[in-house]
Amino acid sequence: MVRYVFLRLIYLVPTVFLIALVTFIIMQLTPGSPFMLGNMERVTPAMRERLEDMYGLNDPKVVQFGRYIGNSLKGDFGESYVYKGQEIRDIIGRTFPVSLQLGFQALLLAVTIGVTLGVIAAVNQNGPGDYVSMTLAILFYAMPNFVLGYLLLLTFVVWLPDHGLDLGFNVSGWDRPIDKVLPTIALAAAPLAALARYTRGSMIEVIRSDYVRTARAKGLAERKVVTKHVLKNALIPVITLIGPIFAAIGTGTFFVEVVFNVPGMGRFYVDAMTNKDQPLILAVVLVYGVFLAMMNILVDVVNALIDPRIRY
Amino acid sequence: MVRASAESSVPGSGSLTGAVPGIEQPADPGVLAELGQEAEQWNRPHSNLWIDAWRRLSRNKLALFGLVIVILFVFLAIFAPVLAPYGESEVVDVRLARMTPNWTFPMGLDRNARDIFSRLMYGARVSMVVGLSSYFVILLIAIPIGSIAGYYGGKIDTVLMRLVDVVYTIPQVLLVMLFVNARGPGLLNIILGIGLIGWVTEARLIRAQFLTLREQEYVKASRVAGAGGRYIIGRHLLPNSMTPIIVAATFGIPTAIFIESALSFIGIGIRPPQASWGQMIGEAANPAMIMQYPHMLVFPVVAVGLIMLGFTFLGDGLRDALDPKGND
Repeated sequence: MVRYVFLRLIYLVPTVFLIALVTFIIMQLTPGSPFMLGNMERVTPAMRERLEDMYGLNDPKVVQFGRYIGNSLKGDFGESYVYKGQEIRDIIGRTFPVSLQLGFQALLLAVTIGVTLGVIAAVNQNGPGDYVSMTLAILFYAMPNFVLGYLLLLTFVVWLPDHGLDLGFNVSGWDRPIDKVLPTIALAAAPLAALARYTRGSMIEVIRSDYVRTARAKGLAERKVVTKHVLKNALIPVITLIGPIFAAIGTGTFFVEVVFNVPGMGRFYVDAMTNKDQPLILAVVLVYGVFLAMMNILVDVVNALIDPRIRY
Repeated sequence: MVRASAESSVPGSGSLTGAVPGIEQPADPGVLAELGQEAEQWNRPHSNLWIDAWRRLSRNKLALFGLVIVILFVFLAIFAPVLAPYGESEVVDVRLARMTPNWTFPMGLDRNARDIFSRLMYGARVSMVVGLSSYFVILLIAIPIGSIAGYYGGKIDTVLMRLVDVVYTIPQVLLVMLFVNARGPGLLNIILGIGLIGWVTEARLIRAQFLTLREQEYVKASRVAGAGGRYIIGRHLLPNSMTPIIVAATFGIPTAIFIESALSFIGIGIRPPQASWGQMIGEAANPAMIMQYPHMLVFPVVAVGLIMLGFTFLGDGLRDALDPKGND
């Protein structure tokens, strides 16, 4: 087990290197200099030359890539082109925890409600409980998170208060606890639906198995059959789904943060995009990539610990 | 199994399903009638994979609903110039900007006094073009690479699988955002971005399909008979991989539509004056506007939601209809 974790961590190195390489190559496709944008009209060509020299943009690409890798390893992502005088490290240090909190709230909501809905659907297979939960799941599953975000805003901030029911939701903000409710729901919906559908499938497969028939045959109460025999085995494959869900929630934060004006890393990334703030873009992608890769390892390890059939 | 059920329609061959009149002479007329009914079932009209799939799909109400939505939006996209009362970026009257819905303008006007109803129709064009052409680009790259990796293995296979690892670590939307941001906004760059990054998933799907198919007896027989790799791929492996590819398309196309609307929403996708649903959402979406003029936001939001729902319902139904494992 220790050896397996160690190997996976070693394997992280080439993966992160490739992520950095791919992003770096894509960034090189950008025509023009970051100092030629609209808000820098007063920068003369000579000044631009000096600026580019200062940031090392005229060095050979290989040198630039090497420097970028070396500095990133030290946790030094340089200074933002646009937010003058701000270390990218500080920007990420300030905004990443916000995204992380939003992400984990959404994950928690998705797992608890999603698995519950899946179990209800499976136990009442083809009954009304099944029908209601699966219709709800497919609705959530199909809806892009920013679309759902606006539907929530329109409902709870515009429509309901117009009809005399003001629950105190605001159109944007992140300070009050109630501000965190709608973004979390918008972000959690799609993974929740995926989990519900997957749990249902997994449960139904286990319910049909021989050992469940045996458990019923020996006269065990239905409740006990479900909790002791079915749930335990049905939830193991569900855990593997958590990996892709991390990725979905990770990207989801970009759009949800824009919709609800949440001061997280995603919104900064979107701003960096429009401003061609290359160091910030590279840093954000790298942080996300490493974070997601580590979460995947964590999920695999947890899976191995829970399922005795998995041996490394 | 679809194929197997077609074979068992030859009377006398389907002994596994029971109830086949073997040697015994049934005396009871009731039993005879029952058998007659069953014989009729065996002699059902000629059927193939697609007819069977359609029969199953048409029984699925949600899938049909999805199909109707998709067809409706395709229709709107094709005939937008004929059907739309106003032009794509035609300013109706500057003084009427942000007018709320009424009989003349069923969905109201946006902040530049353009007719939202007309713009939605033109937006459907962008969505459909992006969805279909980027999936075309994906298949154009994924089919050759997936085929070679799956059939021959070797270096291409190793490189493909490493690439899959990387692309799976960074979410696809993020990479497409990077690409489009680097290349600049516009329809072509969005299609290229989605295609050049999205092919990896489909290539892996085709590879996996080929890995199992190439061990099948009929492929071995073909090889023994002297068929070359290109013939086997084109004649046996690709046709037999069509169903998973079609099912993947019903999920790939809406993903592309979603990515386009997301990019346009944050302002790096389709540029005004060209209309796109995501961009319309982005324009209507600042806090003050949402409170005062929700109509500018509601209709594009509902349009994106509907098209995604339509494709998902259709895709779910198609998967059930085409996947031999799900057959009863």
